Amino acid sequence: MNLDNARQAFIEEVAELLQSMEDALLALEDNLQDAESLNEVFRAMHTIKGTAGVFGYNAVVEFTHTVETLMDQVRSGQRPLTNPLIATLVECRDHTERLVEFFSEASLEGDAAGGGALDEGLREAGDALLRRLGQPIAPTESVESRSTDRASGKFLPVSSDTWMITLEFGSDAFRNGMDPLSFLRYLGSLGDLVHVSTLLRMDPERPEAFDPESCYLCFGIAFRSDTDKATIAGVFEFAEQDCEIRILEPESEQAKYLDLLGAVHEDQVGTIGELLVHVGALTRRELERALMTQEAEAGLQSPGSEIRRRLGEILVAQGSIKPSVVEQAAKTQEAVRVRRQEESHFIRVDARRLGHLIDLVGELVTSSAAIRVIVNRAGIDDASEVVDGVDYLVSEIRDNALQLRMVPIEDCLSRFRRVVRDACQELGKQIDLVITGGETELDKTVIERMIDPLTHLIRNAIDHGIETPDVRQAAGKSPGGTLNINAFHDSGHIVIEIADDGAGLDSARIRAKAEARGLVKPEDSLSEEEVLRLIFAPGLSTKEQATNLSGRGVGMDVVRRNIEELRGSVELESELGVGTKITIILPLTLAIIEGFLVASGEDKFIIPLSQVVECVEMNIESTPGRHGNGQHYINLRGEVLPFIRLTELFESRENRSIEQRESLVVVRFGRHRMGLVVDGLLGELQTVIKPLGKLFERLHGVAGATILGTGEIALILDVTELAAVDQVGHPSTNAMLTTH
Amino acid sequence: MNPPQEPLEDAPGFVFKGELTIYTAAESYARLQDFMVAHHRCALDLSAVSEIDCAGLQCLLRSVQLAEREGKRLMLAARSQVVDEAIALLHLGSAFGIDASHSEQDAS
Amino acid sequence: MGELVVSDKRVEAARDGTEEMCQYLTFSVSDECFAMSIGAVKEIIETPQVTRVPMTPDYIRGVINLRGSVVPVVDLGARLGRSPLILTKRSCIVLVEVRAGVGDGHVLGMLVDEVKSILDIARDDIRPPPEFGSEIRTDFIEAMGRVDDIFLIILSMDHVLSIQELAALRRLGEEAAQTSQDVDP
Repeated sequence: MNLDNARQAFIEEVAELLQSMEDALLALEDNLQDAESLNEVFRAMHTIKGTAGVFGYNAVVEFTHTVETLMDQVRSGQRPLTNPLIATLVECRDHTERLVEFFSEASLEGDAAGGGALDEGLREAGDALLRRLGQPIAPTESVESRSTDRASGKFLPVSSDTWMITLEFGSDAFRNGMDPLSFLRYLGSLGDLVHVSTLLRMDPERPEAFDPESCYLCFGIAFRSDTDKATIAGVFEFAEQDCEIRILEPESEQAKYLDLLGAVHEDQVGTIGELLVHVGALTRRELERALMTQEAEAGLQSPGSEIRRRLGEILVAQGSIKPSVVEQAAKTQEAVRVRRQEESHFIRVDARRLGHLIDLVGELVTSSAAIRVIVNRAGIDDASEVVDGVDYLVSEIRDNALQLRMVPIEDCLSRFRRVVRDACQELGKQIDLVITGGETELDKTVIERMIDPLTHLIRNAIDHGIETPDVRQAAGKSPGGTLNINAFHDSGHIVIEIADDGAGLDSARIRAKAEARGLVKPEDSLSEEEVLRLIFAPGLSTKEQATNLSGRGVGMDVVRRNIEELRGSVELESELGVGTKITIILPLTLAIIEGFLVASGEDKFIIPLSQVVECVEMNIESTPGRHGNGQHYINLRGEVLPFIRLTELFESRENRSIEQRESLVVVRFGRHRMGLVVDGLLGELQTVIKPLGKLFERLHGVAGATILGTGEIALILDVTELAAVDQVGHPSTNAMLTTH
Repeated sequence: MNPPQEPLEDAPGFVFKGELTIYTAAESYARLQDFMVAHHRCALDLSAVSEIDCAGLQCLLRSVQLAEREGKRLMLAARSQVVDEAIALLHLGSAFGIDASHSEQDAS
Repeated sequence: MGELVVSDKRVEAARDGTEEMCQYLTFSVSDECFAMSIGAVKEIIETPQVTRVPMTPDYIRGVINLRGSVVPVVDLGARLGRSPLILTKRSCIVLVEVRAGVGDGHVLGMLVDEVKSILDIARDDIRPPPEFGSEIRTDFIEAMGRVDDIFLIILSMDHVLSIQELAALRRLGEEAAQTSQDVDP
C-alpha cells in the first residue's frame, strides 16, 4: 500500500467515523444517558487521532486529543453532558472534518509531508471551540513536548501501554550495510523509545571470540506510540534479512485487537492467521514465518501423523503475539463459522453490474413473451406447458433480481436528522423529527433520485411550515413542532408522507400570487386542492423571504418534476394553522412492472396492474352521463366515477362501430379513482419499461413503452397524468393544468 | 556534558579521532585492546569523534565489558555530540557509566 | 443519378488537388429530392410497424422497435410542412444520431418516401441557402448542392431533428399555431 492509498483510506475512514460520531451525538441529544453513543463519540475521536498521527497531521491529533480527553471526562462522570455541550461537540466534529479536508488537500497539492502550516483561520476556529469546551488549548508543540516529557521519565517502568520490540541482528548485519542506529532513530520518530536495552550476544561456544566487524547486538525496546503494528514492522522492513524482529503489542493495543476481533466483519474472517493480520495483531511476514515453521515441522513428522502444531501456538512461541489474542481470534473464527451457518451473509456488488443484470432480465422477459407468442401461434400444446414453466421461472428471476436492488429507505431518511437539527438551531425553532417505516424497501436508484426532492420538501417544512416557538405559543400550540416522515408500501408503490404541524398553506395567498403571475385568471373557479397544487407550478413560490435553507432557486416545480420523472406523483393536503402533509407515491422500481394490456382502437396500452382496481363491462344501463363541462361520469354501483374513453382522448384515426363492446377499467391513483374505457382487455403481462427518451419527456399521460412478445410496442399509461390531461382539453378546468 | 573529573586525574588517556564506524572498527578495537593490556585504567577521549555507528558503539561496549571482567576501568571521559546522541538513543548511558547512577555508584 | 458528374469531378479534383468532396445521402419526400450529409446517418431500414404515440403532432410518426430499443420516428413529410407520408413498399426509415446537448446523443428515425443514392458533391458546388423563395423553413436548409446543374436542398439535421423543438411542440393546441407559422414563409 503506498502512502497515497493509505491517505485515501484514512480520509474515507475519517468520513465514516465522523458520520457515526454525528449519529451518536444526535442520539445523545435525545437521550443524554446513552452510554453506547457516548463511547461511539469517544471512539471516533480516538481513532481519528491515532490515524492522523501516523500521517503527521499534528493539528488533527491535537484537536481530537483534546476532544477525546473531554469525552473521557464525560464518560467517567467528571463532567456532565449537557445539550449545549453536545452542540459544541457537533461543531467539533465539523471542525475535525475541515481539518482533515485541509490536510488532504494540502497533500494533494504536493505537500508530501501533509504537515504543512495550518491555516490561521482554521486554527483560531479550533481554539475557539476548545475554549468553549473548557479544555486547555494544546500548544502547537504539544506532541513534541509530550514526547520529551516521557523521555525524561527515564525510569518509567515498561507499562501496559508500550510496545515490546526485540531485535536480534545477524552477525553479518554491519557487513551488509546495516546500522541498527538508523532504524532506532527512525522508530524514535514514530513515538517514544521509553526504554532500550542493548546487549551483546556472544557466541556461547566461543564467548571470547569477538570480531569488531561482526554484529553481536540485540535490542529490547519499550516503545510508546499510537501507531499500529504494521507501521512499526515497516520501520524494520529493510532489516528483515539480517534481523530477527519480534513486535509485541501493548496491553492497550491488545485490548484493541480483542475488540477488533470481536467486531470483525464476517466476510473478512478466513484462516486464523489472516484474521490476526487483518486486525493488525500480526504482520504478514510474521505469519509467513510461522506458516513456514508449521510446514517444516509437518515435513519432519511421519506421513499420516495427525499431530500438527497449531498455528496459534507457533505464533506465541515465535513471540509474535500474546496467547490471549490468539485465543480471541480462535473464538471469533469459531463464532463466525457458527453465524455463517445461521444467517446468510452479504456480498458487496457493483451497482452497475446489478443494473446490467436487471437489463438482461428485462430482455429475458421480453424474449420469453415472444416465445409464448410463437408457441401459441404454432399451436404446439406440448411446448405450451414448457413455456408456462419458463414463464414462471422468468418471473421468479425478475422478482429476485429486482429485490437485489431494494434497500431500506432509512439510509436515505436518517440524513435528515442532521438537516432538521441544523435548521432548528439556525432558525431558532424546536422541531422533533419522527421517522416511521424506515425499514420500507425501495429500489436504490429511486432512492438516490429522491434525495434532492425530499431534502427540499423537508427544508420547506422546517423553513416555512413550522413556526418559531413564540409564534406557536401565541397560536395556542406547543412550542416545539413535529415533523413526521412516514414510509410504507401500498399496492406496488411506496408512499412517503411528510407531515408537519406548522402554519399550513394560505390558499388565499397562493391564489393571489398565482393570479399576479398570470398562472390563473381571477374568474377561474378552483377547488381548495387545486389552489394548493398551484405551489407546484413553475415560477410560484409562496415564501416572501428566502432563507439560505430553501431559497436556493429550486422550486416546488422541480420537486414535482423529479418525482414525476420517477413515474411518481405528489399530493398535498394543508389546513391553515394546523399543518401540511405532502404525500409522495412512487413505483417501487424503475425497471419492470406487472402490467395490464388493453386495446383501444388499433392501439395497445399497458396500465400498471398495481393501479387496476377492477374491470367491468360498459353496459347501457349504467347510463354514462356527461357533465356540463364535457367530462364523463358513470354510476358504478351507486358511486359516481369519472371516466376517460381512450379512443376519444387519443383521437384514434380509425372509425369504430358504435356497437363494439367496451370495457371499463377502474384505476386508482392516490386517493382518487377513475375509469378508463377501452375496447379490449388483453390480460396481465410482465412489462419491461423502456424509456421513451428526451423527445417525449414533456408528453404527459404516457410513462414509457414496452416491447410485446410479438415485437410490437405498447405504450404504458400514466393514469395520474391522464386524469389531468383529460381536463386540459376542457377550458373551464384549465387551472388543473397547474397540476402538471 | 560533565565528565567525572576525579577518576580522570591519574588515568592515562586514550584518544579516538574522526570516524568510529564499521570501516575503522577492526583497527580501533585492536588499538584499544593493545592499550588496555598495558593499563588498568583508561580515560577514553571521544571528543574528536566525528561519526559513530553501531559497530563503533559495539567496540566500546565490548571493551568496557572486557575491562570490567578483568577488574579494570575504562571510562568514556570526553565525548563529542554525535557520540552522546548515539548513547542516548540506545539508552547506553548506564552501560558506559556516564549518568547519574554511575556517579552514585562511583561515590560508594 | 449524377454518376458521370461525380467521376468528372473526381478527375478534376485529382488534377488540381484542391477539390474537396463531401458525401450526401439523397432521398425523396413527397416527390421532391433532398440531400443530407452522410455523417449523421447510422443506418437505413425498411419501415417496420410504427406504433402511434397519442397526443403528439403529426410529424411524430410514432415509435419503432429497433432490436429491443424504442426509437421515435419523425415523419419528414409532415415535418417539412407537407402532408404526412403514405407508406409504400419503398418507404424507408433513416436512423440518425442527433445531439440534444454535449454527450447526450439520441437515435431518431426519419421516415422518407424513398432513399435514392449516395452522392459526392464538391465543395465548390455547395451554395448557401437562398434567403427566401423556398417553400420549406429556411433554417431547415443547410445549403444547396449542385448536381447535374440541378440544385438539391441539403437539409440541416440539427434543425429538422432538433430534439428541443420536436419535444417542445408536443401539445395539440400549440402544434397548430406552430405549424401555420412554419408554412408561412
